Amino acid sequence: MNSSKKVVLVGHFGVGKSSLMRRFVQNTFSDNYIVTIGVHILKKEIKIEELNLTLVIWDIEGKDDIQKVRSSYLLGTSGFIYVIDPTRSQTYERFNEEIDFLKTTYPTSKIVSVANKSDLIDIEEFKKLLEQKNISIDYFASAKEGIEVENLFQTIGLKMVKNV
Amino acid sequence: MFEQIRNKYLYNKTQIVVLDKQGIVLHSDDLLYKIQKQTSISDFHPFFETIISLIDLEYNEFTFSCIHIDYEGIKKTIDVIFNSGSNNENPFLIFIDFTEHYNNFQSIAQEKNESVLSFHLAEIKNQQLQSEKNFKNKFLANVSHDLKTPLSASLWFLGMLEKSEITSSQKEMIALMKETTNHIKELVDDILDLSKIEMGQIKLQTAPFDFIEMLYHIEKIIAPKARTKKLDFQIVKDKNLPKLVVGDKTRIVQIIINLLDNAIKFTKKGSVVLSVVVKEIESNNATILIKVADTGTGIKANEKGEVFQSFKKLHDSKKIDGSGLGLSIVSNLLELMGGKIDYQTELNVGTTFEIEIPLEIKESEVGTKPFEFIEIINKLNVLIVEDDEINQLLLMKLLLNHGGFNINIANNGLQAIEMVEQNPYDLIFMDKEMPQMDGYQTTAVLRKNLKKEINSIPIIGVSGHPVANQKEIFDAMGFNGYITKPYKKEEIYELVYEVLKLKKS
Ligand SMILES: Nc1nc2c(ncn2[C@@H]2O[C@H](COP(=O)(O)OP(=O)(O)O)[C@@H](O)[C@H]2O)c(=O)[nH]1
Ligand SMILES: [Mg+2]
Repeated sequence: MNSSKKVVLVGHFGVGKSSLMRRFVQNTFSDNYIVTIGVHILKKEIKIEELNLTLVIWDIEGKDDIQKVRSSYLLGTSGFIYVIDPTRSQTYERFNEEIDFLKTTYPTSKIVSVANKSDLIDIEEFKKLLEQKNISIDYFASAKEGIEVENLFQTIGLKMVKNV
Repeated sequence: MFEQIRNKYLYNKTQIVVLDKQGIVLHSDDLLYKIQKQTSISDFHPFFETIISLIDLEYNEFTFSCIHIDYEGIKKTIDVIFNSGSNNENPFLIFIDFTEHYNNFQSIAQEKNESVLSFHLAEIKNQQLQSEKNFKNKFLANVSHDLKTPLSASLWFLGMLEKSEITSSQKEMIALMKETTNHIKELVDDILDLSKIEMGQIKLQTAPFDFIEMLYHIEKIIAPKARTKKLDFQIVKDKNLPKLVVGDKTRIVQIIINLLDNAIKFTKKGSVVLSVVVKEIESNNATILIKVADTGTGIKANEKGEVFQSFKKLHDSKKIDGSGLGLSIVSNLLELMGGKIDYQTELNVGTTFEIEIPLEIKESEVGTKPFEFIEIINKLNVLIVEDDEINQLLLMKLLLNHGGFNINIANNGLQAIEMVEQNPYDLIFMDKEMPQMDGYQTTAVLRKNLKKEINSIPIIGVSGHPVANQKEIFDAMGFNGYITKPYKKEEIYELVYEVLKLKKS
């Protein structure tokens, strides 16, 4: 069986959306920051049990407010990956609001949240901080070191397919 | 005319693609990309997967801006207009090539976002450096703290040895050992101070103090050192200096002494002059300008950048003596106080350090209210616990001058503990620094004594050279009050009245 789903990477600029996509699809990483404008789209096939699922990944330009994203970009999205940068508190200050907005505006789509750049921080410390702020993050990943990247795309795939 | 211009400039910037209802490419003018006909448009680029899902919608038009499409070596950034068609019309797409426009836009965004990120990255690096530095400082603080006690013990034993029956050549060797050990102790004290400053553990105390008297105090410490090196030492004071000021006296003394020590250290002959003037007064705030000028070796051009650097000098073996950390401590303390430091130097002519300290001038009468003598009718028993004979004598004389006290002396903590078991005391003066068992330890033992008449004897701490948070430390250790050298007799009397709750009858 074959199927394809649209996944959009969202979050502030510079949190590592493009890097996560590149690590996942091309298994590359660069320290050079190239600002994304508009959208880059790549696809990659994953396997969810017997199903070959093509993830069509939309890497869109970073915005500090999800409501500022061009709504045409979000048409027909099945899964969101919300990316934060644990070293920049501005990127997760409004995390809960943003997630709520996505949930109410796209009620059928799935969301996975990820703190990228975890190579730069003490993860346990950061988890404590998040707990204080009542923020729950699914993955602590690093595009740079290739940590948890595979898992996080696998999870969004599974959620979309199984509708969980 | 219009047609011509349009054809030249706009024609090759657009492409029209016609699809069927399943998203198969029927026609394309291929002006931008060469698209395979009779295949799904999503084979051309994954972007169009979204488009296919929109075909089923009722008549509708969507614009997607700034889509990067890289196909068979052609890299463009386009806007895509999608029209879903109608019952008798096929869906179609219009591509508009805005590559140049978006490239310009990208460079602007690049500059802006990059500067935010790199600023942030620099901040993180800085934090990491800071925490490494803190680790170093903590380590140094712990080590130097642990070194202090054995060093003091060595010095004490050397002092004892010096007093015993020994030959003059042995005496000389011991004098040398004492000097070396003292040197190590100074170094350790400096390292401890500096690490604490760098860790931000030093809090400035603010209390009113007599500025003029502080200068006398400094003179008393420095004059003998200058004399041993046969240097001329002078203090030049501005007539307008405020008397009572508010600030951290201990630290200000430390700053000035460090500068003077440094000047004496690097001067072989000639003079060291301390001049103190008021630079500025604005209502209650004064800026005091303090200069320390010497006729010493001067600072070499290549060393100028390092004068205030901490720990740098530890690696520099050709230093004369001392830790070389003094100036770094000075500049750190001044920074804490909101002061400034600068210097002029000329090789083999001399160096002048100039510092500015902002101080609040105390106008009110605090601390200067006239002393009121209280006569003590029933004599009180006082125990002075002090290892230094001169200090014993000083305190004893002060108390005898006042009258009303029976005075006993304990030379050390152990002796004091024995003595309180044998005689009832109304008051104890406890030197904080004594060999073996210091004043803190002795007080702790007394406070733990089971007998109420012993564990509740008022104890006044005596501090030879003041340290940061002295009051808090004494309070925490169970002292009832404390005095710091140099003693002022009225202060001591007033403190005794307060501790013993004596009232004028
Ligand atoms: N240390 C580290 N840096 C990362 C990581 N992911 C991305 N970066 C860097 O962060 C910057 C922004 O990444 P980018 O993927 O362009 O972020 P985007 O704006 O969200 O797409 C770049 O300089 C990347 O090299 C990571 O996991 N660890
Ligand atoms: Mg990006």
